[in-house]
Amino acid sequence: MSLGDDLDKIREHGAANEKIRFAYESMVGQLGRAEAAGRALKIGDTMPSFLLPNAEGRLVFSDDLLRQGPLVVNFFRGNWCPYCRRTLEALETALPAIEGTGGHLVALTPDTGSHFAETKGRHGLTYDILSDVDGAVGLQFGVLFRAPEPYRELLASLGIDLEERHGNSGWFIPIPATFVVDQSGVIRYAFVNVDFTRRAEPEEVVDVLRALSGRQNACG
Amino acid sequence: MLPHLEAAFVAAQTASAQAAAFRRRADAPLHLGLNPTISARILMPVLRELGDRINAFELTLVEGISDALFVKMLDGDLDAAVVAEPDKLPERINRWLLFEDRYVVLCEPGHRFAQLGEVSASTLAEERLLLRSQDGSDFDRLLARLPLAADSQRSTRHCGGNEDHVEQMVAAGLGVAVSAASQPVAPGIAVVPLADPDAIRPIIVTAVAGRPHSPCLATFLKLMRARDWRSATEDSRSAAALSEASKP
Repeated sequence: MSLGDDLDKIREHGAANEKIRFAYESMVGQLGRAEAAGRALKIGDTMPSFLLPNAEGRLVFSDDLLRQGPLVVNFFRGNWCPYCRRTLEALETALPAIEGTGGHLVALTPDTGSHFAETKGRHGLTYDILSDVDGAVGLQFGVLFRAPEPYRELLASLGIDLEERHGNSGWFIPIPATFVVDQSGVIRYAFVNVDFTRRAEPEEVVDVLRALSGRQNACG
Repeated sequence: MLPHLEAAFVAAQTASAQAAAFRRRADAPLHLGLNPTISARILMPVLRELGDRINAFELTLVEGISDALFVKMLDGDLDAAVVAEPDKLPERINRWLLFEDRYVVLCEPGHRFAQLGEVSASTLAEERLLLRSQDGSDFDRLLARLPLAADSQRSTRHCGGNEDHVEQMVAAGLGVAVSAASQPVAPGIAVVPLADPDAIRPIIVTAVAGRPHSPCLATFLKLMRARDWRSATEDSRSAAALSEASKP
Protein backbone atom coordinates (compact mmCIF):
# COMPACT_ATOMS: atom_id res chain seq x y z
CA MET A 1 0.00 0.00 0.00
CA SER A 2 1.39 3.41 -0.93
CA LEU A 3 1.52 6.53 1.20
CA GLY A 4 -1.16 7.95 -1.07
CA ASP A 5 -3.47 5.04 -0.20
CA ASP A 6 -2.94 5.66 3.51
CA LEU A 7 -3.61 9.36 3.12
CA ASP A 8 -6.76 8.62 1.09
CA LYS A 9 -8.15 6.75 4.09
CA ILE A 10 -7.41 9.65 6.42
CA ARG A 11 -8.99 12.08 3.94
CA GLU A 12 -12.17 10.01 3.69
CA HIS A 13 -12.47 9.97 7.44
CA GLY A 14 -11.98 13.75 7.62
CA ALA A 15 -14.49 14.39 4.84
CA ALA A 16 -17.21 12.81 6.95
CA ASN A 17 -16.91 15.72 9.39
CA GLU A 18 -18.61 18.79 7.92
CA LYS A 19 -16.58 21.26 9.92
CA ILE A 20 -13.29 19.71 8.85
CA ARG A 21 -14.44 19.42 5.25
CA PHE A 22 -15.48 23.08 5.11
CA ALA A 23 -12.22 24.35 6.58
CA TYR A 24 -10.19 22.08 4.31
CA GLU A 25 -12.01 23.06 1.11
CA SER A 26 -11.91 26.71 2.07
CA MET A 27 -8.17 26.71 2.68
CA VAL A 28 -7.19 24.57 -0.29
CA GLY A 29 -9.45 26.63 -2.52
CA GLN A 30 -7.98 29.90 -1.30
CA LEU A 31 -4.41 28.71 -1.73
CA GLY A 32 -5.23 27.34 -5.16
CA ARG A 33 -6.74 30.62 -6.34
CA ALA A 34 -3.72 32.49 -5.00
CA GLU A 35 -1.47 30.06 -6.90
CA ALA A 36 0.46 29.68 -3.68
CA ALA A 37 2.31 26.58 -4.88
CA GLY A 38 3.66 28.60 -7.80
CA ARG A 39 5.73 30.72 -5.45
CA ALA A 40 7.76 27.78 -4.18
CA LEU A 41 11.26 27.01 -5.34
CA LYS A 42 11.32 24.91 -8.50
CA ILE A 43 13.56 22.42 -10.25
CA GLY A 44 16.70 24.24 -11.28
CA ASP A 45 16.56 26.79 -8.44
CA THR A 46 19.33 26.89 -5.86
CA MET A 47 18.40 25.94 -2.34
CA PRO A 48 19.12 28.53 0.37
CA SER A 49 21.54 27.31 3.04
CA PHE A 50 20.04 26.88 6.47
CA LEU A 51 21.26 26.37 10.03
CA LEU A 52 18.60 24.95 12.33
CA PRO A 53 18.41 23.08 15.66
CA ASN A 54 17.46 19.41 15.65
CA ALA A 55 15.47 17.57 18.30
CA GLU A 56 18.66 16.80 20.23
CA GLY A 57 19.58 20.47 20.52
CA ARG A 58 22.34 20.25 17.93
CA LEU A 59 22.76 22.65 15.04
CA VAL A 60 22.37 21.17 11.56
CA PHE A 61 23.93 23.06 8.65
CA SER A 62 22.63 22.16 5.21
CA ASP A 63 26.01 22.83 3.58
CA ASP A 64 27.55 20.07 5.72
CA LEU A 65 24.86 17.61 4.62
CA LEU A 66 25.30 18.49 0.94
CA ARG A 67 29.02 17.86 1.22
CA GLN A 68 28.15 14.25 2.03
CA GLY A 69 25.46 13.65 -0.58
CA PRO A 70 22.18 14.87 -2.02
CA LEU A 71 19.58 16.12 0.42
CA VAL A 72 15.88 15.44 0.79
CA VAL A 73 14.18 18.41 2.48
CA ASN A 74 10.67 17.72 3.69
CA PHE A 75 8.44 20.47 5.10
CA PHE A 76 5.68 19.32 7.42
CA ARG A 77 3.12 21.20 9.49
CA GLY A 78 3.54 19.49 12.84
CA ASN A 79 2.76 16.24 14.61
CA TRP A 80 -0.75 17.56 15.22
CA CYS A 81 -1.51 16.78 11.56
CA PRO A 82 -2.42 13.14 10.83
CA TYR A 83 -1.21 13.46 7.23
CA CYS A 84 2.16 14.73 8.44
CA ARG A 85 2.46 11.94 10.98
CA ARG A 86 1.82 9.28 8.36
CA THR A 87 4.23 10.90 5.92
CA LEU A 88 7.00 11.11 8.52
CA GLU A 89 6.56 7.41 9.25
CA ALA A 90 6.56 6.54 5.54
CA LEU A 91 9.81 8.46 5.12
CA GLU A 92 11.30 6.49 8.02
CA THR A 93 10.40 3.28 6.19
CA ALA A 94 12.07 4.62 3.04
CA LEU A 95 15.13 5.85 4.92
CA PRO A 96 17.38 2.84 4.20
CA ALA A 97 16.69 3.28 0.49
CA ILE A 98 17.32 7.03 0.71
CA GLU A 99 20.58 6.57 2.55
CA GLY A 100 21.51 3.71 0.25
CA THR A 101 21.80 6.24 -2.55
CA GLY A 102 24.12 8.39 -0.43
CA GLY A 103 21.33 10.82 0.35
CA HIS A 104 20.27 12.46 3.62
CA LEU A 105 16.82 13.33 4.83
CA VAL A 106 15.72 16.21 7.03
CA ALA A 107 12.17 17.23 7.92
CA LEU A 108 11.40 20.83 8.90
CA THR A 109 8.51 22.06 11.04
CA PRO A 110 7.66 25.43 12.57
CA ASP A 111 6.99 23.67 15.89
CA THR A 112 9.24 24.55 18.82
CA GLY A 113 9.85 23.32 22.37
CA SER A 114 8.34 20.10 23.64
CA HIS A 115 5.98 19.71 20.65
CA PHE A 116 8.91 19.70 18.29
CA ALA A 117 11.11 17.51 20.48
CA GLU A 118 8.53 14.78 21.01
CA THR A 119 7.81 14.30 17.27
CA LYS A 120 10.87 12.16 16.76
CA GLY A 121 10.41 9.83 19.72
CA ARG A 122 6.67 9.49 19.38
CA HIS A 123 6.92 8.26 15.78
CA GLY A 124 10.11 6.24 16.03
CA LEU A 125 12.01 8.47 13.62
CA THR A 126 15.76 8.22 13.23
CA TYR A 127 16.37 11.03 10.76
CA ASP A 128 16.77 14.66 11.74
CA ILE A 129 13.70 16.73 12.51
CA LEU A 130 14.58 20.42 12.48
CA SER A 131 12.76 23.32 14.11
CA ASP A 132 12.21 26.00 11.48
CA VAL A 133 11.69 28.69 14.11
CA ASP A 134 9.37 31.43 12.80
CA GLY A 135 9.15 29.63 9.46
CA ALA A 136 12.16 31.48 8.08
CA VAL A 137 13.40 28.63 5.90
CA GLY A 138 9.88 27.80 4.78
CA LEU A 139 9.53 31.38 3.58
CA GLN A 140 12.86 31.14 1.74
CA PHE A 141 11.59 28.01 -0.01
CA GLY A 142 8.35 29.80 -0.84
CA VAL A 143 6.12 27.32 0.97
CA LEU A 144 4.98 29.40 3.95
CA PHE A 145 1.46 30.80 4.21
CA ARG A 146 -0.82 32.20 6.87
CA ALA A 147 -3.61 29.82 7.82
CA PRO A 148 -6.92 31.47 6.88
CA GLU A 149 -9.45 32.25 9.58
CA PRO A 150 -11.78 29.22 9.10
CA TYR A 151 -8.82 26.89 9.35
CA ARG A 152 -7.44 28.68 12.40
CA GLU A 153 -10.85 28.31 14.04
CA LEU A 154 -10.93 24.62 13.20
CA LEU A 155 -7.50 24.01 14.70
CA ALA A 156 -8.40 26.00 17.81
CA SER A 157 -11.59 23.94 18.21
CA LEU A 158 -9.44 20.81 18.12
CA GLY A 159 -7.17 22.20 20.84
CA ILE A 160 -4.30 22.88 18.45
CA ASP A 161 -2.72 26.16 19.49
CA LEU A 162 -0.19 27.15 16.84
CA GLU A 163 0.72 30.32 18.72
CA GLU A 164 1.91 28.23 21.63
CA ARG A 165 3.58 25.62 19.41
CA HIS A 166 5.39 28.18 17.25
CA GLY A 167 6.10 30.87 19.85
CA ASN A 168 4.61 33.57 17.59
CA SER A 169 1.14 34.77 16.71
CA GLY A 170 1.51 34.55 12.94
CA TRP A 171 -0.26 31.18 12.42
CA PHE A 172 2.09 30.52 9.52
CA ILE A 173 2.33 26.92 8.37
CA PRO A 174 4.18 25.39 5.44
CA ILE A 175 2.53 23.94 2.37
CA PRO A 176 3.73 20.36 2.86
CA ALA A 177 6.51 19.94 0.35
CA THR A 178 9.42 17.69 -0.51
CA PHE A 179 12.53 18.79 -2.35
CA VAL A 180 15.51 16.76 -3.54
CA VAL A 181 18.67 18.83 -3.80
CA ASP A 182 21.87 17.73 -5.51
CA GLN A 183 25.29 18.32 -4.03
CA SER A 184 25.75 21.60 -5.86
CA GLY A 185 22.66 22.89 -4.06
CA VAL A 186 20.39 22.75 -7.11
CA ILE A 187 16.84 21.48 -6.71
CA ARG A 188 16.22 18.38 -8.84
CA TYR A 189 12.75 17.45 -7.61
CA ALA A 190 10.00 19.51 -6.05
CA PHE A 191 6.63 18.27 -4.81
CA VAL A 192 4.55 21.18 -3.56
CA ASN A 193 0.80 20.72 -3.25
CA VAL A 194 -1.55 23.17 -1.52
CA ASP A 195 -3.74 20.15 -0.78
CA PHE A 196 -2.06 19.11 2.44
CA THR A 197 -3.69 15.67 2.21
CA ARG A 198 -1.44 14.80 -0.74
CA ARG A 199 2.29 14.18 -0.29
CA ALA A 200 5.25 13.04 -2.31
CA GLU A 201 5.51 9.26 -2.56
CA PRO A 202 8.76 8.17 -0.90
CA GLU A 203 9.41 5.76 -3.79
CA GLU A 204 9.40 8.67 -6.22
CA VAL A 205 11.92 10.50 -4.04
CA VAL A 206 14.16 7.44 -3.94
CA ASP A 207 13.95 7.13 -7.73
CA VAL A 208 15.16 10.72 -8.10
CA LEU A 209 18.03 10.05 -5.72
CA ARG A 210 18.97 6.91 -7.62
CA ALA A 211 19.00 8.86 -10.87
CA LEU A 212 21.25 11.49 -9.27
CA SER A 213 23.53 8.79 -7.96
CA GLY A 214 23.68 7.17 -11.38
CA ARG A 215 24.59 10.49 -12.98
CA GLN A 216 27.28 11.01 -10.34
CA ASN A 217 28.75 7.58 -10.99
CA ALA A 218 28.69 8.12 -14.74
CA CYS A 219 30.65 11.34 -14.33
CA GLY A 220 33.26 9.57 -12.24
CA MET B 1 3.30 44.85 4.88
CA LEU B 2 1.27 42.87 7.41
CA PRO B 3 3.19 42.79 10.70
CA HIS B 4 3.16 39.00 10.83
CA LEU B 5 4.44 38.68 7.29
CA GLU B 6 7.04 41.35 7.98
CA ALA B 7 8.25 39.37 10.99
CA ALA B 8 8.53 36.22 8.86
CA PHE B 9 10.36 38.18 6.16
CA VAL B 10 12.83 39.57 8.71
CA ALA B 11 13.31 36.04 10.07
CA ALA B 12 14.08 34.80 6.56
CA GLN B 13 16.62 37.59 5.98
CA THR B 14 18.23 36.83 9.32
CA ALA B 15 18.34 33.14 8.41
CA SER B 16 20.31 33.97 5.25
CA ALA B 17 22.76 36.11 7.20
CA GLN B 18 23.02 33.42 9.86
CA ALA B 19 23.94 30.69 7.37
CA ALA B 20 26.41 32.98 5.59
CA ALA B 21 28.11 33.96 8.85
CA PHE B 22 28.32 30.31 9.89
CA ARG B 23 29.89 29.40 6.56
CA ARG B 24 32.55 32.12 6.70
CA ARG B 25 33.19 31.46 10.41
CA ALA B 26 32.54 35.09 11.32
CA ASP B 27 33.15 36.57 14.77
CA ALA B 28 30.23 35.77 17.00
CA PRO B 29 29.86 37.87 20.13
CA LEU B 30 26.86 37.34 22.40
CA HIS B 31 26.04 39.50 25.41
CA LEU B 32 23.51 37.71 27.55
CA GLY B 33 21.74 38.76 30.75
CA LEU B 34 20.49 36.43 33.45
CA ASN B 35 18.57 36.95 36.70
CA PRO B 36 20.63 36.09 39.82
CA THR B 37 17.78 33.74 40.76
CA ILE B 38 18.28 31.64 37.61
CA SER B 39 21.25 29.32 37.46
CA ALA B 40 23.40 29.59 34.34
CA ARG B 41 23.52 25.81 34.46
CA ILE B 42 20.20 25.59 32.59
CA LEU B 43 21.86 27.33 29.65
CA MET B 44 24.79 24.93 29.57
CA PRO B 45 23.67 22.66 26.70
CA VAL B 46 22.85 25.64 24.47
CA LEU B 47 26.08 27.43 25.33
CA ARG B 48 28.05 24.24 24.73
CA GLU B 49 26.48 23.84 21.28
CA LEU B 50 27.31 27.43 20.40
CA GLY B 51 30.86 27.00 21.65
CA ASP B 52 31.32 23.74 19.76
CA ARG B 53 29.86 24.85 16.47
CA ILE B 54 30.45 28.57 16.11
CA ASN B 55 33.93 29.71 15.42
CA ALA B 56 35.01 32.80 17.40
CA PHE B 57 32.00 32.49 19.73
CA GLU B 58 32.55 35.10 22.45
CA LEU B 59 30.12 35.07 25.35
CA THR B 60 29.60 37.72 28.02
CA LEU B 61 27.17 36.82 30.81
CA VAL B 62 25.77 39.63 32.94
CA GLU B 63 23.71 39.15 36.06
CA GLY B 64 20.93 41.48 37.11
CA ILE B 65 17.32 41.94 38.05
CA SER B 66 14.96 42.12 35.08
CA ASP B 67 14.46 45.90 34.99
CA ALA B 68 18.21 46.52 34.95
CA LEU B 69 18.74 43.92 32.23
CA PHE B 70 15.99 45.41 30.05
CA VAL B 71 17.58 48.85 30.31
CA LYS B 72 20.88 47.36 29.17
CA MET B 73 19.15 45.60 26.28
CA LEU B 74 17.37 48.74 25.12
CA ASP B 75 20.67 50.63 25.38
CA GLY B 76 22.32 48.03 23.16
CA ASP B 77 24.63 46.65 25.85
CA LEU B 78 22.93 43.25 25.93
CA ASP B 79 21.63 41.12 23.07
CA ALA B 80 19.19 39.01 25.05
CA ALA B 81 18.23 38.06 28.59
CA VAL B 82 16.79 35.01 30.30
CA VAL B 83 14.57 36.11 33.16
CA ALA B 84 11.65 35.18 35.36
CA GLU B 85 8.84 37.03 33.63
CA PRO B 86 7.92 40.21 35.54
CA ASP B 87 4.35 41.48 35.81
CA LYS B 88 4.95 44.00 33.06
CA LEU B 89 7.44 43.89 30.21
CA PRO B 90 8.67 47.02 28.43
CA GLU B 91 6.85 47.48 25.12
CA ARG B 92 9.92 47.03 22.98
CA ILE B 93 10.89 43.70 24.49
CA ASN B 94 9.92 40.49 22.71
CA ARG B 95 9.53 37.42 24.88
CA TRP B 96 9.27 33.70 24.32
CA LEU B 97 8.21 31.31 27.04
CA LEU B 98 10.69 28.52 27.76
CA PHE B 99 9.06 26.78 30.72
CA GLU B 100 7.08 27.33 33.90
CA ASP B 101 9.14 26.90 37.04
CA ARG B 102 7.50 26.08 40.35
CA TYR B 103 8.58 27.91 43.50
CA VAL B 104 9.85 25.75 46.34
CA VAL B 105 11.01 26.05 49.92
CA LEU B 106 14.53 25.06 50.98
CA CYS B 107 15.01 23.65 54.46
CA GLU B 108 17.24 21.31 56.43
CA PRO B 109 16.44 17.59 55.96
CA GLY B 110 15.40 17.32 59.61
CA HIS B 111 13.05 20.31 59.43
CA ARG B 112 9.32 19.62 59.77
CA PHE B 113 8.79 20.95 56.23
CA ALA B 114 10.86 18.09 54.81
CA GLN B 115 8.10 15.68 55.89
CA LEU B 116 5.43 17.62 54.02
CA GLY B 117 4.40 17.10 50.39
CA GLU B 118 4.07 20.87 50.03
CA VAL B 119 4.22 23.99 52.17
CA SER B 120 1.37 26.50 52.45
CA ALA B 121 1.99 30.23 52.78
CA SER B 122 0.53 30.27 56.29
CA THR B 123 2.87 27.47 57.37
CA LEU B 124 5.78 29.29 55.75
CA ALA B 125 4.89 32.40 57.76
CA GLU B 126 5.63 30.51 60.98
CA GLU B 127 9.29 30.12 60.05
CA ARG B 128 12.30 32.40 59.92
CA LEU B 129 12.64 33.31 56.27
CA LEU B 130 16.07 33.92 54.83
CA LEU B 131 16.21 36.82 52.44
CA ARG B 132 18.44 37.95 49.58
CA SER B 133 20.19 41.30 49.94
CA GLN B 134 19.50 42.33 46.34
CA ASP B 135 16.02 43.84 46.02
CA GLY B 136 13.77 43.44 43.03
CA SER B 137 14.23 39.75 42.33
CA ASP B 138 11.34 37.46 41.48
CA PHE B 139 11.82 35.79 44.90
CA ASP B 140 11.12 39.18 46.47
CA ARG B 141 8.00 39.57 44.32
CA LEU B 142 6.83 36.12 45.37
CA LEU B 143 7.22 36.86 49.06
CA ALA B 144 5.44 40.20 48.62
CA ARG B 145 2.38 38.56 47.08
CA LEU B 146 2.16 35.47 49.30
CA PRO B 147 -0.49 35.83 52.02
CA LEU B 148 2.05 35.89 54.82
CA ALA B 149 0.90 37.50 58.10
CA ALA B 150 2.31 40.93 58.89
CA ASP B 151 3.81 39.73 62.14
CA SER B 152 5.35 36.65 60.57
CA GLN B 153 8.92 35.67 60.96
CA ARG B 154 9.61 37.52 57.73
CA SER B 155 11.43 40.17 59.75
CA THR B 156 14.57 38.18 59.87
CA ARG B 157 18.13 39.09 60.71
CA HIS B 158 19.58 36.81 58.08
CA CYS B 159 20.25 37.94 54.56
CA GLY B 160 22.42 36.41 51.83
CA GLY B 161 24.19 38.13 48.95
CA ASN B 162 23.79 35.26 46.52
CA GLU B 163 22.22 31.83 46.21
CA ASP B 164 25.22 30.05 47.68
CA HIS B 165 25.04 32.24 50.80
CA VAL B 166 21.35 31.46 51.23
CA GLU B 167 21.85 27.71 50.74
CA GLN B 168 24.62 27.61 53.32
CA MET B 169 22.46 29.51 55.80
CA VAL B 170 19.68 26.96 55.24
CA ALA B 171 22.15 24.12 55.78
CA ALA B 172 23.32 25.82 58.97
CA GLY B 173 19.77 25.81 60.29
CA LEU B 174 19.41 29.58 60.29
CA GLY B 175 16.02 29.42 58.58
CA VAL B 176 14.18 28.43 55.42
CA ALA B 177 14.28 30.10 52.02
CA VAL B 178 12.20 30.25 48.88
CA SER B 179 13.78 29.11 45.65
CA ALA B 180 12.64 27.55 42.37
CA ALA B 181 12.44 23.95 41.18
CA SER B 182 14.91 24.49 38.32
CA GLN B 183 17.61 25.79 40.66
CA PRO B 184 20.36 23.28 41.44
CA VAL B 185 20.60 22.71 45.15
CA ALA B 186 23.49 21.23 47.08
CA PRO B 187 22.94 17.79 48.63
CA GLY B 188 21.89 17.98 52.22
CA ILE B 189 19.14 20.51 51.63
CA ALA B 190 15.51 19.45 51.33
CA VAL B 191 13.31 20.94 48.63
CA VAL B 192 9.53 21.14 49.14
CA PRO B 193 7.07 22.69 46.66
CA LEU B 194 5.04 25.72 47.68
CA ALA B 195 1.33 24.94 47.82
CA ASP B 196 0.12 28.24 46.35
CA PRO B 197 -1.20 27.61 42.78
CA ASP B 198 0.22 30.99 41.73
CA ALA B 199 3.67 30.05 42.99
CA ILE B 200 4.93 29.57 39.44
CA ARG B 201 7.41 31.70 37.56
CA PRO B 202 7.44 31.71 33.75
CA ILE B 203 11.04 31.61 32.53
CA ILE B 204 11.35 33.56 29.31
CA VAL B 205 14.04 34.51 26.84
CA THR B 206 13.86 38.10 25.67
CA ALA B 207 15.29 40.26 22.91
CA VAL B 208 14.61 43.79 21.72
CA ALA B 209 11.75 44.04 19.23
CA GLY B 210 12.48 45.52 15.84
CA ARG B 211 16.25 45.32 16.22
CA PRO B 212 18.04 43.07 13.71
CA HIS B 213 19.42 39.94 15.31
CA SER B 214 23.10 39.24 14.80
CA PRO B 215 23.72 35.76 13.34
CA CYS B 216 24.95 34.56 16.75
CA LEU B 217 21.92 35.98 18.57
CA ALA B 218 19.60 34.43 15.98
CA THR B 219 21.25 31.05 16.48
CA PHE B 220 21.07 31.36 20.26
CA LEU B 221 17.36 32.24 20.17
CA LYS B 222 16.59 29.33 17.83
CA LEU B 223 18.38 26.87 20.10
CA MET B 224 16.58 28.23 23.14
CA ARG B 225 13.14 28.18 21.51
CA ALA B 226 13.55 24.76 19.89
CA ARG B 227 14.71 23.11 23.11
CA ASP B 228 12.49 20.75 25.12
CA TRP B 229 12.76 22.42 28.51
CA ARG B 230 10.76 19.75 30.32
CA SER B 231 13.74 17.44 30.44
CA ALA B 232 16.31 20.22 30.42
CA THR B 233 15.48 21.39 33.92
CA GLU B 234 15.68 17.84 35.26
CA ASP B 235 19.10 17.44 33.66
CA SER B 236 20.23 20.66 35.33
CA ARG B 237 19.29 19.47 38.81
CA SER B 238 20.82 16.00 38.28
CA ALA B 239 24.05 17.44 36.93
CA ALA B 240 24.37 19.77 39.92
CA ALA B 241 23.71 16.97 42.38
CA LEU B 242 26.29 14.73 40.72
CA SER B 243 28.81 17.53 40.67
CA GLU B 244 28.41 18.16 44.40
CA ALA B 245 28.51 14.44 45.21
CA SER B 246 31.79 13.98 43.39
CA LYS B 247 33.56 16.68 45.40
CA PRO B 248 36.08 15.29 47.90
